[in-house]
Amino acid sequence: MASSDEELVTLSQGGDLDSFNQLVLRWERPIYALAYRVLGREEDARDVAQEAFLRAFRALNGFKGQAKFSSWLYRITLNLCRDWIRREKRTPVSQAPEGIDIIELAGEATPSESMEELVGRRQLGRAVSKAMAMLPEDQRTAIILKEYHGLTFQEIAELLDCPLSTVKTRLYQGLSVVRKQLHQAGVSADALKH
Amino acid sequence: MMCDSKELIVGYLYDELAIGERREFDAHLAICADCRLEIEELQATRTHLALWAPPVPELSFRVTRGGAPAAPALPERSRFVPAFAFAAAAVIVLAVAAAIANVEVRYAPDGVTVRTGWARSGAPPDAQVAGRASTDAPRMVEASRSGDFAVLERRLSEIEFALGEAPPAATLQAASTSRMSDAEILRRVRQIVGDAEARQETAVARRMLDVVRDFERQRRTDVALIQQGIGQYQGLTNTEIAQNRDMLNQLVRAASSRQEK
Repeated sequence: MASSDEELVTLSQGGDLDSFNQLVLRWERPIYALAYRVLGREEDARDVAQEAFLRAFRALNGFKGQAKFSSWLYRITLNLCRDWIRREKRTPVSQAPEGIDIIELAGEATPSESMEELVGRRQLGRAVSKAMAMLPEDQRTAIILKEYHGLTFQEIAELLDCPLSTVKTRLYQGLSVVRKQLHQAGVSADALKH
Repeated sequence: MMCDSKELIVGYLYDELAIGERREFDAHLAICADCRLEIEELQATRTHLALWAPPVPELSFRVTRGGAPAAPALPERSRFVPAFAFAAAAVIVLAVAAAIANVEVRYAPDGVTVRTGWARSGAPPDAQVAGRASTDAPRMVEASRSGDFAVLERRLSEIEFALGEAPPAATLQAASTSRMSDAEILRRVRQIVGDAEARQETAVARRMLDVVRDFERQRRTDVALIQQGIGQYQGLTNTEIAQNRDMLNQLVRAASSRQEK
C-alpha cells in the first residue's frame, strides 16, 4: 500500500532520501505542468520544477505540516515562476509547433474520433493556450490552480495569500477574457459538440 | 441582485456553493435567460480549457546526497558526454603514459620485447635486437666499475645525439680522457641526465599539445561533416514527410467526400 504524502514527509525529515524521492516521483508531473502553464516554455518549466524540489528538500525540516505537502510545493513553484517572470521581464508565451502533423495526430486518435475531429481538438488546444497567455498573471494562476489542479477556492486563497472573494473575481474575469479571446479566434461555444 | 454577483456565478460554475445558495441560484436561472446563457458559455469555456495539455517530457528528478546540500540529478542532456571526449581522453592518457615510460616495443624472431625507461638507451644494439632485454639490466649491474662509466658515457652521447644537440665540450673531454675523477664524472653524468630529462619533459608536453590540437582540429572537421550529413538527411526526411502528409490529406478529403455522398 502506497504511503501518504505526510508519512513520506515524516520519513524524509528523518533523513530517508528514498522517501523524498518517492514524493518527487509522485509530484514531478503536476509541478512541471503547473510551471509549464504559468511560464509557457518547456525548458524553463523543467528548470523551475527541478529547482522547486531542490528548495523543498532543503527546507523540509521547516515544513511543519500546517498545509498539505502539495500546497507547500505549489507555493514554492509559484514563487519560483514569479521570480522567473520578473527576472526575465517576459510574459508567458504560447508555445506551439508550426503546422499540424497528421501522422503524429493519428497516434492520438480515439477509435470513435475522425481525423477532422482530432485536428480540430488540437487547434482548439492551441487557441486556449494563446488565450491563456493573454491573461494577467494573477488571473492565469487562479485558473490554472482551479482548472488543472483542482484546488478549492479556499486553498487557492491561502496559496496566493489573498481573500476568497479576490480568488472568485480573478476566476470570473479570467474565464470571461478567455471566452472572449476564443470567440474572437472563431471558437464557438459548441465547437466540441460536432 | 443575483445577476451582478460574480462570486455566485463562479461558485455555481465550480460547484462550490452552499446547498441553500445553490438552490436559490437554480431558481434564479430558471427565470433569468442572461444568467443561463452566461453559465452555459462559461461552462463551454471550461470545456475548451481542458484541451490545453502540457507536453509530456521525460522527467526523472532525483535528489542525491552529496557534499553540498543534496542536489537533484542533472537532466539527461546535462550529463551527456560525447564519445569523442572519451576517445580524446584515452589518446592523451596513452600518449602521456608512453612518453613518460619511454616505451619501446620490438618484434624479434624469439618473441616480442617491451622496454621502458632509460635502460634501452644504454644496452648494446645487438643485444636489443637479439631479444635479451630481460637479462640486460642484471648484466649491467654485474659489470666492472670502469665498464659502468664507459656505458654511462655511451648513454650520454646517445641521449645528446637523440636530442639533436652537440654534447658539451666538457663531456667530450670526459669521454675521451680518463683524467677526471670518478666522482666528477658521476656528477656531470647526473647533471646531463637531469638536463636531458627536463628537455624530454618539455618535448613530451609539446607533443601532447600537438596531439590535443590535432584532435580538436579533427573533431571540428568531423562535427562539421556530421552536421552537414544531418542537414541533408533532415532535408530528405522533411520532403518525404510533406509528401506523405499531402497524400494522407488527400485520402482524408476523398474519404470525407465519399461519406458525404
